[in-house]
Amino acid sequence: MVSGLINANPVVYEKKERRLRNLATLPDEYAVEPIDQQEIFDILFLLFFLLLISFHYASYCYLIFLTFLNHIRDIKDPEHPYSLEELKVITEDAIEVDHERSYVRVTFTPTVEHCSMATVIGLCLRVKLMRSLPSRYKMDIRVAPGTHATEAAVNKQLNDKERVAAALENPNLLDMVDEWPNLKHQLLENVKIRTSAKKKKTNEMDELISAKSIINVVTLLSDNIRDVGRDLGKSIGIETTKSSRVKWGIS
Amino acid sequence: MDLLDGNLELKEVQKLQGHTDRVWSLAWNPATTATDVPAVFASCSGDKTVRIWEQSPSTRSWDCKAVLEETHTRTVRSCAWSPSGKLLATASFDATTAIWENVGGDFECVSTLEGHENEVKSLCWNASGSLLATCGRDKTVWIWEVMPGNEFECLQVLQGHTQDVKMVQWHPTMDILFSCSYDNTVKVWWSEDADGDWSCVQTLGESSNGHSSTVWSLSFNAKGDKLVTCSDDLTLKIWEADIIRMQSGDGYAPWNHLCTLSGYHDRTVFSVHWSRDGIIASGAADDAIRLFVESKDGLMNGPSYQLLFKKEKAHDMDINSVQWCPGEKHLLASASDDGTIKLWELATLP
Repeated sequence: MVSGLINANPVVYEKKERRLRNLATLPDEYAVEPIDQQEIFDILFLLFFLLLISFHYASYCYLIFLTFLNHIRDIKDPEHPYSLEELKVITEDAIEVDHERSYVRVTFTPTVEHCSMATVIGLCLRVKLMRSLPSRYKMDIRVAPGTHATEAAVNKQLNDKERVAAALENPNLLDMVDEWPNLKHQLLENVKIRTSAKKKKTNEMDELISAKSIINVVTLLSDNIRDVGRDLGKSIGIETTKSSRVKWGIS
Repeated sequence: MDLLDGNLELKEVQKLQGHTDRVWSLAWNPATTATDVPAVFASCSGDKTVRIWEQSPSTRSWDCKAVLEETHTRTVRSCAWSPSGKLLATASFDATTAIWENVGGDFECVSTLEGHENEVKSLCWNASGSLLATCGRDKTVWIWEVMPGNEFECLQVLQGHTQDVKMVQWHPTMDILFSCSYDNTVKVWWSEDADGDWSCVQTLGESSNGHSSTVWSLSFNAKGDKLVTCSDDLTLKIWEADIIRMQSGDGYAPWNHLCTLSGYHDRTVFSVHWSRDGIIASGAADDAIRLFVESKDGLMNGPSYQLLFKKEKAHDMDINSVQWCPGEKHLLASASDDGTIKLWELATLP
């Protein structure tokens, strides 16, 4: 069994800080305009803003956007329990929304060029979006251009709804999507145990969740994740090699 | 009626609800389209069931007559009636194909065909009803012979596609089999002598003016000398072959690219169906139904096709299947991700 991670040392980026916006800009917001990415990421402000203009046409569109941003920014890379936003797998620039055409496109960047989990990440993004967007929305999920060795093949798989439908009938995938909050929970539990062993205060949790401690925990979980990934791979047509690394079954 | 001159409208006749998940496919029973027999069609869905719909002769409205359930354990991806209309075959993601027989109004599963490694995606009976073809994600196409007593024997497993096979379709008059695939190609399978093995005699790929992405479906015109294919590359393509030469036994006549209908569709085209009187209907992921006909003024540079009508927002979600009723001339059924089936009538406005 391979014990190491496929990408053991991911570059971790800081999450974008949510700042409060100057209310002086408010009057401009009454006009129906194309969605401004910065505004969208200003979650706290917008929630407040939405209450203010809840009768306004645009509010519904913003609400939709917020709903799914809240969903996808918290999705975990199956290999690392950082959120995808922290790993720069998903950034605000990578999300395009056209509310008039009810269209969403998410572009994600796998953590390494040959990241075998790209399809899994993409599928999970799709599941989360499907659950959080109104059903009329069309979506395309794609790997950022030039970031993945088999970019075209991954994109094709992610956007073939028949293969996605078949994969979603695999209970392992849905379990995995549903399990992700638990991974975080397990991580915290693990840190707690370590903390108490070192007799530190548990409320210093944030400092304790260092890259190293996370990787330790993920190593414990990774076999399980990799099994899920392999089953999932099988269900959507990815072949695996003896080393249990997932390999693309695409020539 | 001259379609090109009239103001056309695709009128919604009825919306059928009942499936609890996306409807993948539907099939008209060919034996029920005579005037004295009520029309019947089957639909299949992600809810693992098949539904049989029948038109009431008195009220002309459509009702669900039967729900075929508890046989398939996963999505039922497609269904097809035998030419006699007595048997219904269903293909499922559970890797099996089921054969159903109508016994006094009740549908019984009389046979289950196992062999595909995983999802079975499509199936088709040949013109005489003696052969059944199935295909699936395992990249293979299987040809089954129909034996007495609802027995099915696998004659051959055809290998050649490099990715999953999305659909199989027999030629309407001859035993030539067509398969389209995620590998962007359409393959033509033919057996030179009646008892021989089928082999791939032609591949319609990108290098022969074929599609540049997944080919989802194909359909023949009434004569069987033309073929239309639809794809994830947002185009329809029309192909032509010298069918007379083949019918006279002069060997295989290859299919040649005739024209490409591009610029009409905004998202993947999942389904295409050619009516007996020459109208091509397409159903796509942009929720629209489009109708195309051969245009009259294109004869100088060979035949060309034009958009006859476009029904925007025909459904609330992707359209997975469009099928013309073989009997009534301009009745079209469509199946969608929104879980509904709609029946449409093509009518000219006064």
